Amino acid sequence: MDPITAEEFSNFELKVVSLPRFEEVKLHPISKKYLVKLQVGTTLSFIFFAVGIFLGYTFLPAEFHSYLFWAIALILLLFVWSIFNNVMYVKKSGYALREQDIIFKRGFLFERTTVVPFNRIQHVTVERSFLDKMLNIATLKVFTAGGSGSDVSIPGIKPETATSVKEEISGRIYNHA
Amino acid sequence: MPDFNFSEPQRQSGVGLVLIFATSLYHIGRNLWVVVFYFAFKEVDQRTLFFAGAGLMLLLLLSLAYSIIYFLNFKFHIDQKNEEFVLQKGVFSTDVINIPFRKIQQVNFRRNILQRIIGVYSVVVETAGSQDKEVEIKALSEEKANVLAERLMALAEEERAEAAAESYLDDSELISPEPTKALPQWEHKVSLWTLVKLGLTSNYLRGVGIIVAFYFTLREQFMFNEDLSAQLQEPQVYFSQGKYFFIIFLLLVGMLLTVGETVVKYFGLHLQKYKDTLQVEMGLRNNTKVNLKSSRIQLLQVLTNPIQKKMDLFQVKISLASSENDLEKNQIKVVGLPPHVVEQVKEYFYQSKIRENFRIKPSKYLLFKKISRGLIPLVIISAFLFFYVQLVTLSWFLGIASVYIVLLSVYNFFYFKNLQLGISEEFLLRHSGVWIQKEEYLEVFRLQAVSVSQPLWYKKRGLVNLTFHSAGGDIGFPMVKKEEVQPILNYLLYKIEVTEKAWM
Repeated sequence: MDPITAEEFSNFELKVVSLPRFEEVKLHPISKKYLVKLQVGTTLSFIFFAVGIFLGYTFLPAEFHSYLFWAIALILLLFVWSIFNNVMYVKKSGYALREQDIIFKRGFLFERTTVVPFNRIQHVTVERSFLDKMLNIATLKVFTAGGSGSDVSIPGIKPETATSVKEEISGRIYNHA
Repeated sequence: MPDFNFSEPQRQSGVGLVLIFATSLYHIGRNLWVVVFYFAFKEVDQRTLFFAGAGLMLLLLLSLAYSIIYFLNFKFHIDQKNEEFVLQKGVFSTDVINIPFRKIQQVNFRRNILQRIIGVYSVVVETAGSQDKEVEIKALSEEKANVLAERLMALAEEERAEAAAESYLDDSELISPEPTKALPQWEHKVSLWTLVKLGLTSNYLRGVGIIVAFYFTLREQFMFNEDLSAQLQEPQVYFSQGKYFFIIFLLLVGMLLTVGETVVKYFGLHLQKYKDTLQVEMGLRNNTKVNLKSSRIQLLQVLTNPIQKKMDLFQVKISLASSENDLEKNQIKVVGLPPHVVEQVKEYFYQSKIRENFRIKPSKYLLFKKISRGLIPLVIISAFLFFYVQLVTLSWFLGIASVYIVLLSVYNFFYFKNLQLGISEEFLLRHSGVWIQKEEYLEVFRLQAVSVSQPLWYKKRGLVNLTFHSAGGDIGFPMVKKEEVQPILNYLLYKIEVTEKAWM
C-alpha cells in the first residue's frame, strides 16, 4: 500500500468528513416490470393455495369448514400483504455505480444496503429467466469471495443496461486484478 | 534432503496398497457388524454358516482386487509445462484431476492411526475451486510428502507472486521460492495436562449430548433384534429409581467424554513458526499438520472463559478463505495457548501491534430488546396460568418468574456491556460474549463488502445493523446509531478501495 495514504489518515477523525458518502448517492430505481414479475409469482402461489382450499371444501366433512374459513381469511390477509410488500419492495429498491464500487439497496420491511468495491468483485453475470425474457428485463449478479451474504443480485434491469454495466464492472475488475 | 522427481506420473508408496485394503475392510466391517452380532447370538445351522463364510471370502477377494486396481490406477505428477498438479484415479472409469498451481491454497498432512502404524502420510492439496475442494494422496513416505508439499507450495507461491507483480511492482516482500527448512523461530507445545485442564473447564453438555446420541444410535441398530433391545430397555428401570444419582453419573461421564474428546482432538498440539509459515500439528486419531501463511488468514478469533482465563488457556480460531458457504469447515482451531503465545501468533499474522482508535457500542435499545424478547415466554406462560390458576400456586410461579427475570437481566446486561466494536486504521475488532469471551480480528483490507440493514421500526430511532463481509466469514454488529457509523463505513470503503494489497 502507498505509505502516503497511511500518513494522511493519522488524522483519523478529521479526514472522515471529507470522504465521499455512499448514503447520499442517488439510486437508480429498478424497473416496474419487475413488479409485474413479483406479482405474477405471488398470484401463482395464491392460486395454488386457493385450489388446496377448494379441494378441502369439497372433500372434508362439514365440521372442518369453520377451520377452512379461518384459513381463507389468513391466506387472503397474507396475499394482500404480499401484494403491498412487492409494491413497496420495488419502490424502495435501487442501485448505483460509483467510480470505485457498486451500491445496492433492497427491501421494505427489512431494508438492506450492500456496498461492494470493484476491487473485491470476483465475477459478474447477467441472468434472464423465461418470465424475464417476456418482460424484457434481466438480473445482474455480482459475486464476491465473501460468501452469499455479500453477493449482490439486482433484479429488474433493462437487458442492455445490465450488459453494459456488466462490461463496465468487468473492465474495472480487470484494472484492479 | 533426498531428491525426488515428480514430473513423471507415479504411484503412492507400496504400503499404500495395505492402507487401501485395510480401509475397505474397515468399511465392510462397519457395515456388517450387525450381521456379525446376529451370527454370534443366534443359533445357525451348518449350511447357512457355510454360505455366509463363502460369501465373506468372495467379498474379501473382490475388495482385494478392487484395492489392487485402485492402487495401480492412482497416479500423480507435477506438470511443469501446463503449470498444474495432475492426479489420475478410478477403478472402472478414469478421473483426471488437474489443479493449476495458482489454485492451490494449502498443502497439509494428515495421518490416521493406521497410517501412523505403517509410517506414511496423507498429503492433502486444498484448492480455491468450489468443487473438488481437496485432493488427497493417502500414502507417501515422510520425506517424499515433505518434498512434495514444499514444492507445490513454492510453485503456488511463485505463480501468485508473478500474478501480483503484474499489478504492482513495489512488492518488497516477495517470497523466495527455495524451501526454508531451518530451525523454527519459536515453537510451543501444548502438554497433555493442559488439554485435560481444558477439557475439565469446557462445556460438559456436549459430552452429555454425545452419550445421548450414542444411546439412540445403539438403540436404532438393535431395533430389529428384539432380545437385545429388551436388554437395553431394562436399565431404565434402575435409572428411574435413583434419578439424582443418574444425573450425576451422566454429568461425570459427560465430563470424562469431554476431556477425552479434547485430548484425542488436540493431542500433541505443536506450533512451529518458521520464516514465512506457521506450522500447526495436532490430533491423536487423525493427526494433521497445517502450514499457515499470514497472507491467507482472513479472520482471527480469540476465545476464553473466565476460568480458562485464570489458567492461561486461550483458544485461537483461524479462518482461511473458502469458496464454500460453510465457513466453519475451513477454520483451524488451536486451543490451550497462554497469552504470550497468542500475542506471538497475532504478531506473526499482523506484524504491527493493534491499537484501537475508538470503540462503538450498541444502542441501549438493544438491551431493552433483548430483555423484552426474553420476557415473551414468561408472558405466554402467565396467560396460560390465568386460565388454569389452580394448577400451580401463585407464590411458586412468582418465585420462579422473578429468578428468571433477574437471570435474564443480568445475562443481557453483560451481553450488552461486552458487545463492542473496536476500530483502528487497519483493523476491526469485535468484542463479545458473556461466559465465553470472544475477540474477532478482521483486517480492513480483507473486507469484501459492507452491508447496512435497517428494519422499518429502527428508522424512527435512526438505528442500523452492520455486517462486515470477509472471505473467512461475516462479522455482524447490531443496533448502532446511523449517523455515528456512517462516516466509519465511508472510511472503511475508502480504505478497501485505495488498497492494492492482495487480500489473498
